[in-house]
Amino acid sequence: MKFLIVDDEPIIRKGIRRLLENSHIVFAEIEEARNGEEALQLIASGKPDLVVTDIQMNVMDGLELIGRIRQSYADIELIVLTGYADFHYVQTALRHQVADYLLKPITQESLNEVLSKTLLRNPSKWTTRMDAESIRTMARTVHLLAKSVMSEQREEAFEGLREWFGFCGRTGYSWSELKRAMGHFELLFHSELYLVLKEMPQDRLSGTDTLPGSVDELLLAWEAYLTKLMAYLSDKRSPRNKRTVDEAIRFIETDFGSKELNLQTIAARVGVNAPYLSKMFREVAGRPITQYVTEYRLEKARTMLANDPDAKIVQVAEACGFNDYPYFSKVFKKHYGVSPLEYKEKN
Amino acid sequence: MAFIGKQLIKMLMDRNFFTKIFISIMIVSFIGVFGTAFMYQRYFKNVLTNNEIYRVQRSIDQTALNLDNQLYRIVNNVHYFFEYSGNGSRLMSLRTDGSDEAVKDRAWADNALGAFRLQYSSELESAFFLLRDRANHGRETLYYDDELDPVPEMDYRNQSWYRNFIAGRSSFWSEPTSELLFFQDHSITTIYLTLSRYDAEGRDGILVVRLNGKMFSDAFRLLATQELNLELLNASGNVIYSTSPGAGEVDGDQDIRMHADLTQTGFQIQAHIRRSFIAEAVRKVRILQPFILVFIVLVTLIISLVLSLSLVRPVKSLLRLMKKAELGDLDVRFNGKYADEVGVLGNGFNRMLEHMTESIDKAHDAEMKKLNAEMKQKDATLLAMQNQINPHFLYNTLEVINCQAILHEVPSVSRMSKALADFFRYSIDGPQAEVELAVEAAHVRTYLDIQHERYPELEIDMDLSGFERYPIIKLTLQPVVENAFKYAFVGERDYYLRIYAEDRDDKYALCVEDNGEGMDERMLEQLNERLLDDVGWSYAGAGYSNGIGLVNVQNRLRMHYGEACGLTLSDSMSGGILVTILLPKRRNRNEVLDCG
Repeated sequence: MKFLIVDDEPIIRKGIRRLLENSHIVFAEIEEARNGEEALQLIASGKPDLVVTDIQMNVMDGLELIGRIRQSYADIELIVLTGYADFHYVQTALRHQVADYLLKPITQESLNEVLSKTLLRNPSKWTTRMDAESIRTMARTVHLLAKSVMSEQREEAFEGLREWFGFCGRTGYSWSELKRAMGHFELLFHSELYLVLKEMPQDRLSGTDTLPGSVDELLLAWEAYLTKLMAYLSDKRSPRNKRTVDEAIRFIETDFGSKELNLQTIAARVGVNAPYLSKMFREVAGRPITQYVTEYRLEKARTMLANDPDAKIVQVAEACGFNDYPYFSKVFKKHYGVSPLEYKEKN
Repeated sequence: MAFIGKQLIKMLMDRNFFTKIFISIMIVSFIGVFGTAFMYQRYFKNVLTNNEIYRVQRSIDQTALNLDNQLYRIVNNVHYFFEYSGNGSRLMSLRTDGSDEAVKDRAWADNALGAFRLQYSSELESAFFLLRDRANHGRETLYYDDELDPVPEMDYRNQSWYRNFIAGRSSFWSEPTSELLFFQDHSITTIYLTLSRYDAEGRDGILVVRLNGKMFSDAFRLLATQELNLELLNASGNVIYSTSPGAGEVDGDQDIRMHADLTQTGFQIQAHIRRSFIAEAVRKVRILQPFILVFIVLVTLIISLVLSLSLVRPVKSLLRLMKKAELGDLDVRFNGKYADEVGVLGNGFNRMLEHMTESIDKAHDAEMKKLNAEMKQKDATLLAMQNQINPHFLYNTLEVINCQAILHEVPSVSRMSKALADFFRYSIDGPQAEVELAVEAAHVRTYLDIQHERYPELEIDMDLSGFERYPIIKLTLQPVVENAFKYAFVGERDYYLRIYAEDRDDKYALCVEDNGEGMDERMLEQLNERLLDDVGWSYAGAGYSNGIGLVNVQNRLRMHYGEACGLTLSDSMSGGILVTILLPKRRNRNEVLDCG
């Protein structure tokens, strides 16, 4: 597949190229143009499948470029790069001649999404050497396959995959034709998967070391890939959270006296990143971990004050991990209605 | 005493207006009515008494005159009879020698006396003549008509008139006596009328007439009553006749004494009328008074009531209107019928309300104008900023930074530039309007992403699930979150920020809670007051922060959703501040704020 980037900023062109290379779609060729004129010349020399263009450029701006492209090439998919969220205005201006838009700055995610959407909208554009029947079957199979994988229906997924291979066999694809068809298949599958998963698993079919040499090997490779994918999904969804949170709570219970105890240190200790821990903790414990820590410390301090009449409040506060006595006093009063001193005197 | 008086006045003055007026009118009316009644009664009693006395006096005078005349006529007749019966003084020259002449004379004298007696039978009971002949050893002859039957055991020589005659001290009227000589003398007590002549040719003679006592009782019969006691006295003061002989002496204190003189006879009528009798007559009139009194009291009460009501009603209606006005209904007006003080007050009240409405309108207009001007100024500033920051330039630059980051594989910078672009896009692009909470929340997340680079250790807990579809004004939640970063997280502690939503009937509450530094109660109160204060409309009050402060957020929320919505600040359990944003669940359809 051929891609053309039109932007007057070299850095941006390079950046987009990098993002395209990192996307789930493999492009055969990526070309760059500095402005509309250059782009038109490049298109004339070799028609790209996809053009992404900035609007504001010096020699020929994006709007004019789009108009010109549409005059000659109806089947080139156009993606507009814009700073405005209100795309409707741009789209109206372009009379629906563009497929989609990318908001500046472009992120990997937004690019992947737009690419997936564009590919899935009209698969026949990318699969010109296949007949319409095959393309329809492929699109349907890919859709069902993505669904089965997402719902971790292993047998259903394999069944769908085998049916597709059977279809290809019946149609009488040659090995090279099958490989190309499977390339399209993968492209569409990844696009479908991306749209539902919003991320791309690291394990990729094309990343396997040994290239399959036969139809059976190809099928096996696909099955292995799907298995891995489902394992990844299963792992992602596993109720590891409870365990992680329990671990975090155990950690808080032993280390509450440490001033270093906070979301970051706990996350590092239980081996997850901080935002993830924060989210998990809240889901399981029903309150932010920082609040949990504070309340745990307060309760400890209260117990200490109640049990040891000789304890000094400042020392108790420090022992419970409060490095800020006024804050300790204030929160103590909030929670128990009396200041630590009053509490101690009462007991 | 003065204290009690004061207390009483206070007690009265503390009552409501109606009671006061009612009591006042009643007091005044009763003083008038009872005063008049009392005066009238006193006067009436006197008049009645005097009238009664006067009437009795007149009757007595009349009776006295009649009696006097009657007696005078009798005296005249007796005198005439004595002097002129027969030829000249024949009575005195009656022969007494037992001759025929003497018998004839006696028959004549008896006849003449009989005729005289019969002629005045109603006035006289008996009349007789005694002749004493000095020459004939003082021989005495008693003449009387044969109709008179002498009482055998009575001897005239024992009687007082005879003794007076012999003693030569005969008076015209005898003292009252019960002596009698004949059966025809019915009266128990009466007086004698005597005419005597001494030494006429050697003879002494006396004509005695016994007056009929019935004559007196007749004279007084119509006048005398149980209560009016009449006495006839002779010149020496002895009682000739009394209408109630048994009553004896009368009490001078209880009775009213009256008298009338009989000028020709020298007698006197004395009358005693019982004071209680007069009082009784007055009391008869007074018997009516309790009924009159009750009637007057009732009438007074009714009049007082009607008067008080008619006086109080306009005041009450004015009061009611004032209460309404106090509650905010400035459209009420007082309809006074009369031009009295209440009417004047009502007109004043109406004018005041008009002025108030006017000034409120004016103030509102002025405030709106000011606000508009400020908004315009603000918008102009924003527009200038927008124009200054050429969006193309801005986003392109950010895109360049982003691509540099991608090429150098610094994902955090890439994320920052992306977040910054999103942040600006949301803030600058499009008119200010309502969005779904999810959209604003996404913006808050963008903001938090940016802040995350600065506060990597801050824990953020944002959960608005279930509320995402509810409306919110753009850029209202984010400044509140921003505020926490400005003021709460300035120390060296483990901070966290919770953003959550709660259901409040037809509204929902967005809560932004931090465990930051917080503020003391007084400041919190002040800030809350400023947020609630209408004066907070002014942007001048928003010196609180350089950008969009809480007051600004409050103003925009209230302008859009009304007074019921907006911000409140309170202490959070974790020692920081809890900002609660109250918002409606329904979109505000009839108002679109266009600042573009």
